[in-house]
Amino acid sequence: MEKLNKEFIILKGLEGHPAIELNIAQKFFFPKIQYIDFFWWGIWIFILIYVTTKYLLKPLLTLTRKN
Amino acid sequence: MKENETEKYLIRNQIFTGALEQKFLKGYRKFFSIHEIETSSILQWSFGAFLLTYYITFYNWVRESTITIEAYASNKYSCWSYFQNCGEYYFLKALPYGYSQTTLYVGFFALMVLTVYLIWKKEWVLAHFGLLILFIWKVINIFVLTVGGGNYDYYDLILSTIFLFFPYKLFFLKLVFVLLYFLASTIKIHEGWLLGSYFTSLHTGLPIFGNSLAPFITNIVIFMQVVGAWFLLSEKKILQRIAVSYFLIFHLYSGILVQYRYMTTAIPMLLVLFGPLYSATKVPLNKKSIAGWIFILILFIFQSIPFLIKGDHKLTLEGNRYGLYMFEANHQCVSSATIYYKNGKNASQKKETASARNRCDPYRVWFNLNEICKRSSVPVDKISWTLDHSINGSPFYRIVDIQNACSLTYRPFAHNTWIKTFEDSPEIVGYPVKNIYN
Repeated sequence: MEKLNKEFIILKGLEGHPAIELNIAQKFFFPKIQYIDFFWWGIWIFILIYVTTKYLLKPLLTLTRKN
Repeated sequence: MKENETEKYLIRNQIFTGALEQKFLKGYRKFFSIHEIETSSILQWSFGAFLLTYYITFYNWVRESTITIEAYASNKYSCWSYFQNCGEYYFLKALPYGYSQTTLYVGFFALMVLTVYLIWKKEWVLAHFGLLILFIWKVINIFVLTVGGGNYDYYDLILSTIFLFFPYKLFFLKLVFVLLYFLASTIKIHEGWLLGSYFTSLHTGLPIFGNSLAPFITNIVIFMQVVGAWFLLSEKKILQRIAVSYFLIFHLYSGILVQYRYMTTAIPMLLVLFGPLYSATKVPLNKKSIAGWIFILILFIFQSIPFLIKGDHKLTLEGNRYGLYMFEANHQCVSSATIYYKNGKNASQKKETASARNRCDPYRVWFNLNEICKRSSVPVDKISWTLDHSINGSPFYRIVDIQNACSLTYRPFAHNTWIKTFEDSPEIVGYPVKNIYN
C-alpha cells in the first residue's frame, strides 16, 4: 500500500493533483463501464452490418438477379 | 473537333510530341482514371486540398532531422518494427550539418508550385504526376524510413491513394472519408473516452466544456463517429447538412488541442466532399470498382491488427500504429535503464514524459537501447531496463522489467512476452499526477 501512495512527480508544480480522481459523472459511469463498452461495440457491429448490407450486399444482390 | 483543339493546346501535347510519349501519356491518363478529375469540380477542388496537406507536411519535415545521417549516428531515430534497419538507408543531411535535406524539400516546393500552375492550366495528367511524386516520397518517409509519422499523415495518404490510383474516385473518397471516422471510433471505445478520463487527467482538462461534462462530450463524439458520420452520405439534405456542421465544429474544437495540422487535413476535404457541392453518388459495383472495395477491406484489416494482438494495446502499444490511433489514450511513462559496459563502467539513462501524446511505446524505447547494444563505441555487456506506464490517469504499471534488453527481440505482428499486459498483473509502482497535452 505504501507504494500506491507514492506519486510519480513528472511535472513540477502539479504535485498533489492525482490524475486518477474521478468527478461525479465519472463516478456514476465507472461501475457501468463494461456495459457501456459492450453497448458501443454492439452499435458499431450493427452499423457495420447495416451499411454493408445497404450499400454493398443489397445492390450487389439486385445486380446479380438482373443478370 | 472542339475537343481536339483543346487537346492540342494542352501543355503535355506541346512538350511531349513523340509518338511513344503520347502513347505513354494516353496510357497514364487511362490507367489512373484522370478523366474523372477532368470532369468533376469536386475532385478538382480536392486536388487543391491534397496539395495543402503535402505543403504543411513538408513544411514541418524540412525542419526536422528525423531521417538524417545525424539522427542515425546519434541514435535519435526510430524504425518500424517490420524494418528495423531503416537507419542504414538514411542519406540526407539537415542544417546545420548539410544542405541535402533542404535542397530536396526546395525541389518539392518547386514541384508543388508547378503542380498548382498545371492545375490552373487544367493540365490534369501532368498535375497528377506531380502529386504522385509527392505521394511516393511521403509513403517512403512514413512507412519505410521512420515510425515517427503522425496519424493525420495516414489520412492524407489513404485519401491520396484513392484520388491518385482508383477509378470512381469521388465515390470512394466520400465513403472512405466517412469510414475513417468509423474506424477511428474503435480506438475510442475504451475507458479513456467512455469516462472521459483522457481529458480529466490533463492539468488543463477538457477544453471549453470542462471536466464535469467530459464523459457526455466524449460519448457524443463516439456516437457521431460510429453513427452520425454516415449521415454525411445521406440524400436527405437536412440530415446531411447537420452532419457536416457537426464535423466542422468538431474539427475546429479539436484544433484547440491538436492545432492546425489535423484541421488542415480534415476540414478542407470535409467541405469539398460534403459541402455546398455535395450530391449523393451512385454505388459502383462493376469490375472497375473492385480495387476500391479491396482497399476498404485492407483498411479494416489494418485497423484490426492491434485488437488481434494479445493484451490492451493502449498499454502495450503493440500494433498500435498499424491503424488509426489518434487520441487512443493519455500516456505518461518513466523509463529507467542502466547500461553495463564491458570495461566495467556503468551509465544510467532515465526518460520521463508527461505529455499525453507521447505514447511511451516499449518498442521505441527498446529500439534505441538495442541500437546502443549494437553500435556503442564502448562495447556493451548488458542493459537492465524498466518501463512504467500509466494510461488515462491510471496507476503506473511496470510493464517492462528486464535484466538485459540486448537479448530481446521484437515481433511486429504478435505479442512480445517481455511486455506485460493487464492479464499478467504488472506491479503498480505509483500514481501519476495530472499531465499536459503536449
